[in-house]
Amino acid sequence: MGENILFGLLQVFEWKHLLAMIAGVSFGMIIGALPGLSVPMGVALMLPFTFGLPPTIGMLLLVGVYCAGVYGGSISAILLKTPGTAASAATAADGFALTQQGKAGKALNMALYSAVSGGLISGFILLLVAPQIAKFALSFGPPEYFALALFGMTVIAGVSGKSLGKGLVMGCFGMLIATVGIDPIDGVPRFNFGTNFLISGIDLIPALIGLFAISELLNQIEKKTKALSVKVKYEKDRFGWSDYKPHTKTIFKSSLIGGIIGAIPGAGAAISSFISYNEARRTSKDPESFGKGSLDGIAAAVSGGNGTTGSTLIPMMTLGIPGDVVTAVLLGALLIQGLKPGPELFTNHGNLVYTVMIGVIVVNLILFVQAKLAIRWFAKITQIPSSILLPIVFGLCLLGSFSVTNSLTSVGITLFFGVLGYILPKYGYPVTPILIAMILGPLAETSLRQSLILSEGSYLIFFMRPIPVIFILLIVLLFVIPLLKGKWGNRLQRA
Amino acid sequence: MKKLLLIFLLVVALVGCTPANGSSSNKSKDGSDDNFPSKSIEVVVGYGPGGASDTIARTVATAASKYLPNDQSFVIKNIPGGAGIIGTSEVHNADPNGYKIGFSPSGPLTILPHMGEASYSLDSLGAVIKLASIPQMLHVKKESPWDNFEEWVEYVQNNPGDFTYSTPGVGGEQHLAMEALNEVLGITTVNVPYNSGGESSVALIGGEVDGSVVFPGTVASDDAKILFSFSGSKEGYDDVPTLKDLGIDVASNVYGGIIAPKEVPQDRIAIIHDAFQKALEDPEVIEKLEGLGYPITYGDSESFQSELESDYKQAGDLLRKLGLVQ
Repeated sequence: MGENILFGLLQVFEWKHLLAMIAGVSFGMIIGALPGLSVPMGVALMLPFTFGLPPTIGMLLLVGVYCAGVYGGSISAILLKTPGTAASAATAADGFALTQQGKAGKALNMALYSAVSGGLISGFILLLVAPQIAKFALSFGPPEYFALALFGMTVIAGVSGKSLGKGLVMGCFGMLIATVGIDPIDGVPRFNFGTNFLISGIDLIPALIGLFAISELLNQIEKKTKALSVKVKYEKDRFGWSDYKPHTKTIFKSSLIGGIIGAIPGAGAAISSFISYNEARRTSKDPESFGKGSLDGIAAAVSGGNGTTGSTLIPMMTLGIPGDVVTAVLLGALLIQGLKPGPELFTNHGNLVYTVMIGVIVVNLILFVQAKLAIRWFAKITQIPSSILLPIVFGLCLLGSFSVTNSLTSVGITLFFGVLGYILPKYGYPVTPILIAMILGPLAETSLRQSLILSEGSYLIFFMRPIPVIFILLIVLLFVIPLLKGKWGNRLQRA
Repeated sequence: MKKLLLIFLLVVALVGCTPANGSSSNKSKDGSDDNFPSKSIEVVVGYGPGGASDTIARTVATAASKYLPNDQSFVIKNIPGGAGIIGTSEVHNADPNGYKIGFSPSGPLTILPHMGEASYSLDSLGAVIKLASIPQMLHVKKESPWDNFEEWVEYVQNNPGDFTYSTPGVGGEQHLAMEALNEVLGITTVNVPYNSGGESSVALIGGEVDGSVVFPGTVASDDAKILFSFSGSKEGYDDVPTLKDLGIDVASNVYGGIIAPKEVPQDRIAIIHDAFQKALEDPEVIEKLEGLGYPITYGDSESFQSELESDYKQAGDLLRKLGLVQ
């Protein structure tokens, strides 16, 4: 392995490989930052270019787009409250609050430092313990997935704002939306009302763009804002170790959460960033500030999301199963080159594997340099007059949702959710629980029903294995007990 | 800001230009068909990039572009969703001018129309050329007690309802293949559906299920062994017995090929067919597909069509027997 790492190191610094990574990072950052254009789309757009390239160059290019894209999503989330990816949705509230206070530069820097830290930690996990992590990922069967999904759902409590009840209503609504489409177990179409376009279900990305981006545009129009940033004075964005230091613990913890969740196929960056955000809020000394411009919140969400970038490659390369759409495209890039993932890939194409692994680490360093140079320019976007900026963003959002299925129906879905995301918060109903439920709903449903097939209908299956039991205990310890305590405390106070 | 504007314009230009150019050249030359193809031909794949269908389609279509007249090429367009229904509908609804065709595995053509949710039927589509097989085999874990078909049958006969196997979905080719075998042997096995071949093979290696009916190429591990193949012929897997070899008259072939709207003129079908046929003889294509485990199984338009029709009937009978459709 040591030899392979050395070889990979030499390979990565060949000029054509460096060039591929630099190109990938620039492209990924732009795609990620453009509201409405998502990372999977960026990687898929780049895929055809790799067909003619040698596999190593192609893979490094795509890895560059991937890592930079996941970070780029937080740029538009912070500046425009229009997260390009589900993962950066957790960044939007705090980031945009800071932007409105004129602290966009600080928020962007926090996001960059966290993204690079998360990416590097994840990269080292990939390089050093991939086989062990792959074994852990294999131990995730249906009961484990169900427990993980349940655990993820507890995040709803954290993002519901004032009313947990209203948050739960929105969570149920999201779960309901997630049931549209083909039943994952019986293969029967559900709630498609005889139409063809609902058979494939409601895609996450068009709904996400509607709920967060379109609704925010409507809000801005309503407020008749001249520009997004309130303060005219532009704060000097010096950001150094002293700004980073208070968040070290959060970033490290979130990156590890990302590293583990990323390795579990089907979980991914969005779940990880929300769980990390929630965990940071739970342990924070100042949980009230979360959602209102907390730097710690940004650090947690971004490093949680980028912490998955390296480890998602583990199940893809070792087992040949893609954890999400991006890794499915990366897998495709390998297959089309005639390379079959799995143990054979490591023995027959060790050079490629280790070059890509080291590439993940180098890509994050390149990302740091490029983004650091770009941030000062990005931050100025918020000073563009709204009359120019908002129509452009609106156009990009519709373009982005169109591109998901290349059809106008997803544009319709985006507009529908846009209006929903505009109206619901006015009545105190938060929209983030809808997103979380849409991500976790299908995972929970499929794994619950698979578990019950395996156990012949017995719910004991969730209590017979270590991982589900740990999750259930965590849910009880971290959420149910504090909730009861709060109720109790209130009653005592009243008495 | 200038940057953003520039990027925006670039994106708009990129997205806006391609179809516009396409349609303008279409209008000028499309009337007379002596010059087919006068622009690139879209090959719709009903699945996302990276899956079995996408890999086969892309590998062969890229090579086939070399053999297309007028320096034109095939362009893959992924339209995923609805287990392939959406992409197949797209082909069905396309103008029958030969510029939009599709690659489809057999399932969306032979199984899904029975389910009553597809807007097309097998009759409304024309088969162009069969390209490759995606043979499905029963995998079990390396350390499992069964080393061959006979030992496995003995176990499932003595323990009805105990053997669980993973598939990429209920009513899919894999599930139907096993059900057909259950029917003949009078055994009961339990299908646990997952979302993809990759996921179902991991369920096997992770020990969630006892077996898995998948395409061997998706099993990226040495931890599985193959008991038998559901295919009707060997298809290059010489050391794996087929059910026919074992004296059981059950065969479920899974394969993929190029389809087109029914009314595309025959001469255009012939041009597309010929380009793909030559691609199948391309050494690079042979090496890649065989390396990934897809046996090349050429079939001309007529034999591909009749194979689809007979499998359509077989699937319908089985689905009714299972009570999955009325």
